[in-house]
Amino acid sequence: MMYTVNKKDFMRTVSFDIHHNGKEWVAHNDEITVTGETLDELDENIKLKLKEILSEGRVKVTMELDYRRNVPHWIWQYHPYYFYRTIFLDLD
Amino acid sequence: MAEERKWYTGMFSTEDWWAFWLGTFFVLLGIITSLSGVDLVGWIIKFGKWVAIEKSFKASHPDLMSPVAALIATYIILMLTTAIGAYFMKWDIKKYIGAFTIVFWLSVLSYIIGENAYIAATELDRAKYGIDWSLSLGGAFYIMALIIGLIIGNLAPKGFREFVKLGARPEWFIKVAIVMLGAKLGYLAIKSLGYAVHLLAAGASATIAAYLLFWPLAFLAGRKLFKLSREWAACLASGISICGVSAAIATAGAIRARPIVPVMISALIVVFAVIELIILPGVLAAFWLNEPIAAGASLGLTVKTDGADAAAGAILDELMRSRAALELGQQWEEGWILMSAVNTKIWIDMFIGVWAFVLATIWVYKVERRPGEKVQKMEIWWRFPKFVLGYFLAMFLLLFIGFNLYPDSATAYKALTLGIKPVEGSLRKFFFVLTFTSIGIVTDFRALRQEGLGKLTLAYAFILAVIIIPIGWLIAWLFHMGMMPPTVSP
Repeated sequence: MMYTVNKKDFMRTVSFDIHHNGKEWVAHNDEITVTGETLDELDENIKLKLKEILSEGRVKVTMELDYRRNVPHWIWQYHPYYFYRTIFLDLD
Repeated sequence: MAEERKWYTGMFSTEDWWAFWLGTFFVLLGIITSLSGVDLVGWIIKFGKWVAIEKSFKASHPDLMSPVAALIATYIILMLTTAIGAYFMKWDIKKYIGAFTIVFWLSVLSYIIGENAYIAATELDRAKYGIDWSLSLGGAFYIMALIIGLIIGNLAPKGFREFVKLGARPEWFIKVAIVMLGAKLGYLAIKSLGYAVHLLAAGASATIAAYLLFWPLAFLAGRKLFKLSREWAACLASGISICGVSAAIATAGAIRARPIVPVMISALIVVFAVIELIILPGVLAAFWLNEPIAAGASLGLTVKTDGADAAAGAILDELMRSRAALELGQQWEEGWILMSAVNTKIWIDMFIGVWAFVLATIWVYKVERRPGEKVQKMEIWWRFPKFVLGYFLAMFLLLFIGFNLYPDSATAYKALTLGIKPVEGSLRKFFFVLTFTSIGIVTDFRALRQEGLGKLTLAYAFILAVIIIPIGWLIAWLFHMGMMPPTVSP
């Protein structure tokens, strides 16, 4: 299933895990992987990719940094989470 | 599978939450013991000064079991309870138990050596132990644990060093101990409520210093003097002026920085925190005996990890009480100087979520102007340090019980001692020693040699020495001047 539908506003939500591989940001879920050197570029590439797959309309996209992949184990005890981005894309 | 983040995400998978669960669990054991009379905490190991080694430790309630049985019981219970946390956090459980076992027994060894009367007894204690000389090093067991940890962390073979690090979790251990410290504050506040409230209110001033003075000055110094980019300067400013590694990570996440930025800064923070931990308590004890609570509070403002701050506070508490007994002829109640150090830090910790939210809002909407992105208010909750909930829960539980279930505060204090004393005293102190050992093990001074850290190291040292420490001392003095710990009879 590519997306879930919010019961309150019926908006489609696509969720990604995200990490930085040293050169670029990588957003991925079970079905697609998208990259971008900056977050702006990543957002744009996600929009292009979703346009290919989904029908028109507004989509909520969430991205949580894969903490265990990008932050060493010894740091986890200090702070448990990095960021959780929410963006809204118009696939028109 | 990627999922939407919920308010309860991480409740069983982060050390922060597990500090809440474990700390609260032990405090509840103490409360149940006090209320019911069923001894659930007598097994807790209690170390003390000794000349004959067989008297170096015993059970908190010696009638319950022998010293050796208490030591083994403490090992098994701490190993099992932390291993349950490790299991839920999906660590390699076998490796964790192996590594924790090494950290535990090293801590026991440090505690026993450091409490030897020839090392630890003060001049006033000597007659009690039948000795005619001693080094009078109060809190030597903390230093011993730190030294042993540092030797392993810096000199042991790499394979062994990396293995032991799996069980050396200083922030986790200290957060569990801080929840117990909340119980101590509530327990002591039963007989000194006004003083405890004064201490809490004065500590809140720390947030003003940390967020409104330190951060802008540190950020400006990073940008103007050391020509750091916005991304590096913001993370460095938060790390050095707010709450260390936690703030560096939170800020980096808030401004959407690459993860490498806070990771490199974090390596610096932990090394400098240990340097401060070694230097500051001695300096403060030597020059600020007339302002012990301000001295403690200054540590919360200037030492940037919870572990190192509480550790420095514990040493300062020991050093200052020894000096006060010798030079002023006063017996200050144990723990108040330490609590002032932890209190300021807790206030700083609590607002990191709000600060990260403010930064995220400014960065996303004003600095980088990223269209379509929305900053969520839930950020504040996700970043809120959950162990602080345990600290206040423990404090309020004790106060509630103390003021509602007993006819007067003296009766309440006496009745609660049975269960609470072993938890807020012996067990908390042992978690402190575990923290000291762990800080030593995870502090790798070779981190300073990492490529690219030269300018950052210089910036960190400069900002710490010129901005954070002097202003921190001034702010601590302004808000805590004249506060002295309550005295007790010898």
